[in-house]
Amino acid sequence: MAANPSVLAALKQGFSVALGQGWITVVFWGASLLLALLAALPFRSLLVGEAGRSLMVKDLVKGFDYTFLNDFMQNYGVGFTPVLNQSLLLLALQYILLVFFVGGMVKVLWEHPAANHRAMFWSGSARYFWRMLRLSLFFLLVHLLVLAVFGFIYLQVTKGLSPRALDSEGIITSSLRWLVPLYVLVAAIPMMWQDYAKVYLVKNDHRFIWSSVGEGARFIINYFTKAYPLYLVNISMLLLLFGGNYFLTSLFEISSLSTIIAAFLLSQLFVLARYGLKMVNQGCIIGLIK
Amino acid sequence: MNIRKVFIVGVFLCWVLGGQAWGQSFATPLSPRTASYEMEVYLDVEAKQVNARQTLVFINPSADTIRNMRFHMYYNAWKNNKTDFFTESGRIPRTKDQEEIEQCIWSWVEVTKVVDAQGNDLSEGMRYVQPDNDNTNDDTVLDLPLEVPVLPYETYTLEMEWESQIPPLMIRTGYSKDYFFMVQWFPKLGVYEAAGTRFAKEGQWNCHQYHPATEYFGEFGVYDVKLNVPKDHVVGASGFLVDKKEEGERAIHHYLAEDVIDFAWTAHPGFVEVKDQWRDTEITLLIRPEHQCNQHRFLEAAKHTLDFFADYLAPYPYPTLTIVSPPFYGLNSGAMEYPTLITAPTLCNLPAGIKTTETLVIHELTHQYFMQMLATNEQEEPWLDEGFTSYFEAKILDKYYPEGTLSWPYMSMHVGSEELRRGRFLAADNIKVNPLSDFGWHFEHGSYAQIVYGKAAVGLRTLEGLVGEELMQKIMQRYFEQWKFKHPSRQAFIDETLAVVGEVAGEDKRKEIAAFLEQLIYGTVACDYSVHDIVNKEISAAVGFFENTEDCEKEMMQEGTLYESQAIVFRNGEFTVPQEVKIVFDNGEEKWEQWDGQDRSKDWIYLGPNKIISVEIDPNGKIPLDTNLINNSLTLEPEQTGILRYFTAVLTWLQATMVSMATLV
Repeated sequence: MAANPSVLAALKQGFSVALGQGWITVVFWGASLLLALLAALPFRSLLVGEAGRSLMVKDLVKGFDYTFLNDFMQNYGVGFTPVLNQSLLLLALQYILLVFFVGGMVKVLWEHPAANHRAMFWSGSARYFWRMLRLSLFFLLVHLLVLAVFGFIYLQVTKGLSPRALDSEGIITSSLRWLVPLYVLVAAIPMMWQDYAKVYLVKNDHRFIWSSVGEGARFIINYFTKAYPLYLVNISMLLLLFGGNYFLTSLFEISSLSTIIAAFLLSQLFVLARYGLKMVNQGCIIGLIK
Repeated sequence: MNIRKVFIVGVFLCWVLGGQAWGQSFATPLSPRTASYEMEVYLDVEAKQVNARQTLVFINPSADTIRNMRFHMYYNAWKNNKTDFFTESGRIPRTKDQEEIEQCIWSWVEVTKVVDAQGNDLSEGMRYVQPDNDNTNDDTVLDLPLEVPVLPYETYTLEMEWESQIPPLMIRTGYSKDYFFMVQWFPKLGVYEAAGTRFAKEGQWNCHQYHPATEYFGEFGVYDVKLNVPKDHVVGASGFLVDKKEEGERAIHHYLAEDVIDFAWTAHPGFVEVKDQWRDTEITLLIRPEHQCNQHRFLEAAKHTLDFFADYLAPYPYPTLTIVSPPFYGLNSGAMEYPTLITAPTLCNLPAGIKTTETLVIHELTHQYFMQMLATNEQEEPWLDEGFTSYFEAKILDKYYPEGTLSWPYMSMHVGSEELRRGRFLAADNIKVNPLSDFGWHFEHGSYAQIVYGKAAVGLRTLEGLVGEELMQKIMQRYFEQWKFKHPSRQAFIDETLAVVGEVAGEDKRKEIAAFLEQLIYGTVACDYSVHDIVNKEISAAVGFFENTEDCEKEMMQEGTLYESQAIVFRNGEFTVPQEVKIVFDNGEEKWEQWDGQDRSKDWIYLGPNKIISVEIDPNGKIPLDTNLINNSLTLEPEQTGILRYFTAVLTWLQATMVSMATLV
């Protein structure tokens, strides 16, 4: 357990590792695009099949069309059920795939700059899959617990959102102004804990996840003043990315084929950048531990 | 001097001596003033009770001799849990908690004394009746046999004392903490209908039990009401304030409301009074300080509505308009309409793109025309007020708020009021479950709002499409002029509509509209037309042996290709309505065809050098009653860029979900 580098040095190393292993980001992005396509193509087929020859679809290029969507759902909505079910199935598959990739990603980042990364990635993915899955499910429960605690606090503050109990509805939104930032600050801790546990799982190749969970927790407690600010910096970068995406998408109005393509490409860059930041975050943590 | 004369002299003296407020009184009555009330009301805010004395002056509007009277006793709807109100209101949240049930805290209204002008005490004969069913647990209608009958066109006076236990605010009326919204709150006389009036076959009291989905039917009159409340309570009421006197910790607010069918009031210490003016009408907004950020939204919407009706039908005639924005804990009184007093809730952080406040102000204010001035029977014909109001609500919103009732920058979301109303109608569990003509409480299996509000509004909009905007305005103007301050039925509207259409557009159009209204009002069938197919067949020259040719005809080629082009349309629904069909050829030529819409299918065949590339039924969107507008058109040259936009949007949403999931892995 080292944690010698400063937050900035760890951050720098995170970027360096993520850029050096940028192909992993592309794997994450490619998988999500592929699975999303598998879910979205039946939706497109349904639209084309039921409404493709209607003059009404011409106006869809302007954006949200309430009447079209309403009439579509009322008259052809039954076709949505299998499409929706397939989408849910593919989202579940994506979750499994993410768990699978994470083992490989952490392994490559840990071993960086060793050679033969691709073989290491796939073997790492396979080797750590079941343990990463258990780890992910455990932290999912932790996240749900945190969410439940904050939900409980919110309901207490807003008196169960009951109009009869509240003097004014202002508290319903005003409480969110402090509760949401507080939630982000608190929820960052289990998220950070999970990322450290993943590294220890790969580093020490523990058979049981609890050892990694314990080691991750110990590291965070011992080096909280470095680990936590580093994590907050990563969250800030994510927020900046969201802000930048919002700014860029608001620059042009989608009204033609070229603008649709431009908006789509921008969205793909955004997805790619989000996966890239995930790599940076994991790289920083490894930098701090190393 | 009998009680009636005392009342009339009193009113006269007040008018002479009472100061400037009486100047707001109408010089000439607008209505027949059949049932007028003079009341003294004491509100006990601790016990949540009202003690009152009221003098009722009733003018027999008929040639009948009336031997009894019937009163609405709305607050008895909360007397037990077996009333019609409770048993029919399965979806209304219960406000009775266990503690109240154990302590037997229920609500009621009770007449403690009733005396006629001759001094006869009529209390002994009072009994509760159930004209709508045999539910003897329902005490919402009081029958009062008279010692002295009311002779034709005679005036009759009753002196009553009564008290009530105010219900916790469940829907429309009651209290919540320190907020009191007092509507449908006093023993209110029903409407006497002589034979031939509306659907009455013989003289009768029209006084139904209190059903949760339906609200009221009232007689026009003058309400002279003194409200005794704690002096820190801000009061708003129907009519105008004559004067206000403070007596210790109490204050007496004296209101006069003329030519109205009901009287409503509210009292709450947390209200701020915001005043504004529209022509000669004083607008008062009663609003909580935390909602004042939205006060301009209330006032602007109200003025737009008043402007609209001043142009479309007639100017709002009353000297006052009170808008109540209830506190959050009084939301259940929100979105209600009473004469010259409406409620419209708002929320302090309501985004500008969500026009709920504006919608409610416009809707409830429109009821001043359709319910108040045109005093239809909401219990028996709810669509005549809610449907008409919804139709105008959409027109006003779409005119003054072109960005839509819901707008959001993402995906350029703009939902217009009219299309939202149509969408809500079509989203009903069953749009065929009841005809529009049904009584309100006969919608036993849901879809009341979707049909009464939605189908009626969409139907009226379709009527406008069939007759044109100008003629529609003429219809509404005639209907209003003929029936203002009276009690029109659906037949009145049908008759006025057909008369105007016949005069302006001729007999054929009159018949067409008569058939349309018959299906709309009395039918339950759906309207759906579709373009089935476009067939373009190349016409080949005749080749081979024919009877009139000796040699074999071999010439395949002819000068220029000819096509037999066919457009085929279907009527899928049972509702029939004339249709316009637009047929476009590949050279840009357009043919506009008229179809009576009667047959199950119809085709048009053209011979010529050009092929049909698209067919569209009702291209100008005159018939929103059609349940599926997607199948109203068909093109051989589909423009699917829009579908690409939706496809990429869905793709991006899915990826966004996936990448967010990665945070948890």
